[in-house]
Amino acid sequence: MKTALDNLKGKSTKNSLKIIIIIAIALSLLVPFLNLSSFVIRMIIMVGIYIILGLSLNLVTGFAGQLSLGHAAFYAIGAYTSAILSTRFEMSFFITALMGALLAAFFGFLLGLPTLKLEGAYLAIVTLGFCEIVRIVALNWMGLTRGPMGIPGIPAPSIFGIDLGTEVGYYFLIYILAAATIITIYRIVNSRVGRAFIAIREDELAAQSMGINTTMYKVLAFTIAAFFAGLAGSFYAHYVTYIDPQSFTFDESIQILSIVILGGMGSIPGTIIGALILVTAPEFLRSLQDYRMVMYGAVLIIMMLTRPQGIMGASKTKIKRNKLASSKISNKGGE
Amino acid sequence: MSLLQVNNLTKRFGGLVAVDSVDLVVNKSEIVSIIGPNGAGKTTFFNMLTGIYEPTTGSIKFDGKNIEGISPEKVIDIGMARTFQNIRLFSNMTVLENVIVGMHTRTSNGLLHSILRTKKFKHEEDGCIDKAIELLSTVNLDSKLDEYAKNLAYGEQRRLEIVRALASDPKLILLDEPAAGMNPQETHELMEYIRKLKQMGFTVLLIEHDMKLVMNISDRIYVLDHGAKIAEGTPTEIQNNKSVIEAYLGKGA
Ligand SMILES: Nc1ncnc2c1ncn2[C@@H]1O[C@H](COP(=O)(O)OP(=O)(O)O)[C@@H](O)[C@H]1O
Ligand SMILES: [Mg+2]
Repeated sequence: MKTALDNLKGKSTKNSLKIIIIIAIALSLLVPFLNLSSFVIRMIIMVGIYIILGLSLNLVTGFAGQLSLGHAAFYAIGAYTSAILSTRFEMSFFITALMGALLAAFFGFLLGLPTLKLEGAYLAIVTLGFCEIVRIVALNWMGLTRGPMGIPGIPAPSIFGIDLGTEVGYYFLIYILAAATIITIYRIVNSRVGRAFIAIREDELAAQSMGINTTMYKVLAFTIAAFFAGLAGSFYAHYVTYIDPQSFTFDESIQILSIVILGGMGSIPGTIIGALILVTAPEFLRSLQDYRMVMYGAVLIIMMLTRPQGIMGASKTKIKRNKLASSKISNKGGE
Repeated sequence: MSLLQVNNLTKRFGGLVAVDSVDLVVNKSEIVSIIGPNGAGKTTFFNMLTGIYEPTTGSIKFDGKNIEGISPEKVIDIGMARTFQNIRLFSNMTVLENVIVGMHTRTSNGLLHSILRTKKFKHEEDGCIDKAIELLSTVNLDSKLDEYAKNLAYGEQRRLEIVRALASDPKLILLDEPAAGMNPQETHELMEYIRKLKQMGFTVLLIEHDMKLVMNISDRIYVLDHGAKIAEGTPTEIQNNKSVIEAYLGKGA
């Protein structure tokens, strides 16, 4: 039994939010048919890639509270795995992307295992080092990666004989990948597993005292994040059709981190907005192009000083209560 | 029947002996208190019971098993839950979420069930929510389910932390100065609440400075001073113990 007040308070905000989301989805499905320039479509697709990268990093850094400066490494592993498998073995994108994501996850796991016992700055330094190692390997393992020459001619994805290598094809592909990432991360965060992540961020000792195996959960967060970064990397490789080690430098890690910090540590909508702003801003402000890193630095410093919780504020997970539970409350309030 | 049996427990920090060869027994359904001046080693004693510190020497037997040197995340699993002297809630989680995290070891939803939102997932979540609300209503916090823990008043935070510990269905609950910072009214309610816990079948080991509270609800009391146990007994025995009076008021009092 719901009281009228309950309906007014809870339902209407929930409904208006639902309507906004439905409108946003409807509009976004129309995007490729709006006769937008290739430039704009390209930008939107890049936003999609960075939503995946930002969300996955946010899981580790925003939700689980473990600062990582090496997210680009997993992006690179996904991209290279997918590029190599598809150019040498002519495997389908859908298989190479999965392999790329899984291999990235595996490296996330391997890196996480010994390092997540480290804290704060030490962890950040190790992840930074890992990112550098991956780049150096990509640069020097000529036999596998062709080093600085990069890998050209990465084939466009196709499914059931339909070529997805068109603007519309790429758009919907990244749309689905980004949507799947958003839903998956949302569901993880709003679950027993996600609450364990957040508890670790909030107070590691208290989390342990609640029976949370903190090392295991930190490794898990790292592994999941690496999986999605690898997935983004695979898509990127097949989208730009050419990759080289230049695409996966430390700068890239910083850009992803800037998205998370700008949007809000532990905020999913924040990450989406952060990706939108930080990917499109340099394109709109051409003169900023050469100062990208300066811009990220400025964003980080300004946010830290003025709004450390990010645009959308810190994590706001709220448990969805079932009818039984919420009716108990409203009954009590009515007594 | 003894639930907790501690023998000769010692903790050294370098040259400092924080806990010095302490023996202690807690029987089922008892309220046992540990008192003593600041720095007596009470919290350190708790930290050894809950795996945060490894004892230098001595043994801890809980529910028939030796557990000294156990890792902190296993402690709650075997049935011992605690609160902290300097409240350690998950500040940016809601009241409801804090309690549900307390059920971590009693639940099992993993990654796959969470992502797929399976029947099992929903069933377990609903069960947790109902149980959490029920627990919160015992401390009058069920009207603040969606409030962030950091926004609660001090006394409310203390109550929430107790409920978070209870959420794991512990056999023994360890409370480290739960009345600290509470006003007399809140302290009185806390006293009634701890009594109620005993009636509900919980066993309580309590560190507390509020003598009125301790003397009122304890079945037995241990007194620590400079790490060593200087007295044990019923509240009446402790109130009349000479060395206790000396420890609290200084020699010659
Ligand atoms: N981690 C530690 N390292 C060094 N000394 C400690 C540590 N923890 C506690 N102590 C010392 O042990 C003694 C007992 O402290 P504590 O157990 O907190 O006392 P109480 O809880 O009875 O006030 C104090 O002298 C304190 O400074
Ligand atoms: Mg203490």
